[in-house]
Amino acid sequence: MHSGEKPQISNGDGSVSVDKSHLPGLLDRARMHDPDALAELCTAYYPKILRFMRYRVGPNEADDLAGEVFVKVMRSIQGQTGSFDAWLYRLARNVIIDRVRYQQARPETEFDENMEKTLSDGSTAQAPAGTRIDIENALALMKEDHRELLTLKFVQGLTNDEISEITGQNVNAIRAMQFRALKAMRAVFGRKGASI
Amino acid sequence: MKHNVETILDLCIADMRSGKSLDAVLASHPEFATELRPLLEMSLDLAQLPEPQPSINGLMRALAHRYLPQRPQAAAKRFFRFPFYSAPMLLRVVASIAAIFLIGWGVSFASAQTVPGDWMYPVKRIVERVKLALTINASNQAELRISFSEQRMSEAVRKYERGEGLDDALLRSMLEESRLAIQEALSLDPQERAYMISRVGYLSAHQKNMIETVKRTADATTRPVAEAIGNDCTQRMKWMEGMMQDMEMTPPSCSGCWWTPQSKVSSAKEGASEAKGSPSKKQMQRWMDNCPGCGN
Repeated sequence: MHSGEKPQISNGDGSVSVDKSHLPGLLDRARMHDPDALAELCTAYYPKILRFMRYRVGPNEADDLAGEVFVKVMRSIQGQTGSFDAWLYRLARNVIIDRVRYQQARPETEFDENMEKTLSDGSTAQAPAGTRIDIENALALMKEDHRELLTLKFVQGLTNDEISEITGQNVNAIRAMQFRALKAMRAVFGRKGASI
Repeated sequence: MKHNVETILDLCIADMRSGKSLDAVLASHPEFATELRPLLEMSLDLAQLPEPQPSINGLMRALAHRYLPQRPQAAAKRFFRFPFYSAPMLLRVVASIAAIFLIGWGVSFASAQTVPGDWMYPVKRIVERVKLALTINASNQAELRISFSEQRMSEAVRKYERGEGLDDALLRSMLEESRLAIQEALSLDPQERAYMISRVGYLSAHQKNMIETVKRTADATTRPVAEAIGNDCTQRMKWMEGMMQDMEMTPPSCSGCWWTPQSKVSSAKEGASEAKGSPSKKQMQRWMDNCPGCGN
């Protein structure tokens, strides 16, 4: 037990941050399957990953996919190296990719039409005319790579360097895609609050 | 030109993250202001998307789906010989998860503080079930039941202190867990059985005292629940006293005491060591058949 340590900082929104200086020691203990350390990691990062999933795959599946990510964390924490945040987001991306592959392999499964459209032909879907959409719906209509970048950069608040570590893209490519993604988002969303 | 816009957009985003206003960052790049304003507004809208309601149900579903139904019989046998480390990898993972939430979260801050209605509460309850499912030894199962009963009592007190009234279901669950602890003790050897009975006896005394204290401060809304559960606790305590006397054990005589973990264990050991005879399984079963508030 390490009850004497107080490594976590409450963010006031129910989530908890791990003190960065404490993280390496925490990870060492987690790799040894120390329950306290694993609990601290889960407590700190679960809300963050849940939020990521919420805006990447929508509210219906976010819970389950975030759960899958942490099952993978428990199974593979011993092999974790480098930035924990980047590693965690990579696991989350892989969970989403697995889910998409699974759904594509099972055509009888109910499949999100928008996702199918954005994944198969890379084009941005259009909201039906006259539909009043909000920012979240607009995000859901983005191309998969645009949605991922917008979620990581603006919803999760990561830097270009952090995104680069997660996606493997270089920072210049991220900067260029950010511009295109925001433009596409603006095009789908139209004027804020307007019917399109 | 396009590259410049992309770079300037990125600089504007960085400036806004450092605390500058939208107008201030655009004022630094007037030639791009018209093009960048809607994009920067969009980035602000995205950053303000609401936090999802925290729920860890997905994690518990994932665990339950992946691990719990797959517990092999052979693994259970090995598990019995070496309670933790000889379990197969998946079971060890589940046990680790259980430990995370039960021990880790519990001791550190989260689980110990959760009560029904909190987003992490379902985790605590599911983990309790996982933990129990992975515990083979009856003595350890009885210990777990005792700790669950203590947990339910703590949760009920915490809810009451928060002004959420007395949770009847929690308190009944508290009584049920202590009964199940005695039930588990049936299969133990006489000495261990006496020890468990003694522990549950002290626990029941403590729980009765707690309810009596709550009754004294309860308002008109809470009083009926406090009265009803208080009666059940009194009956349960009398039942425990009767059982312990029948088994020539010393019933707890700590009226008004508030139990601490050290004192409860030492008191229980003293109570058990003072038992003149060994409580027989048959004798105990008779008491179990007449347990008050157990649906008999």
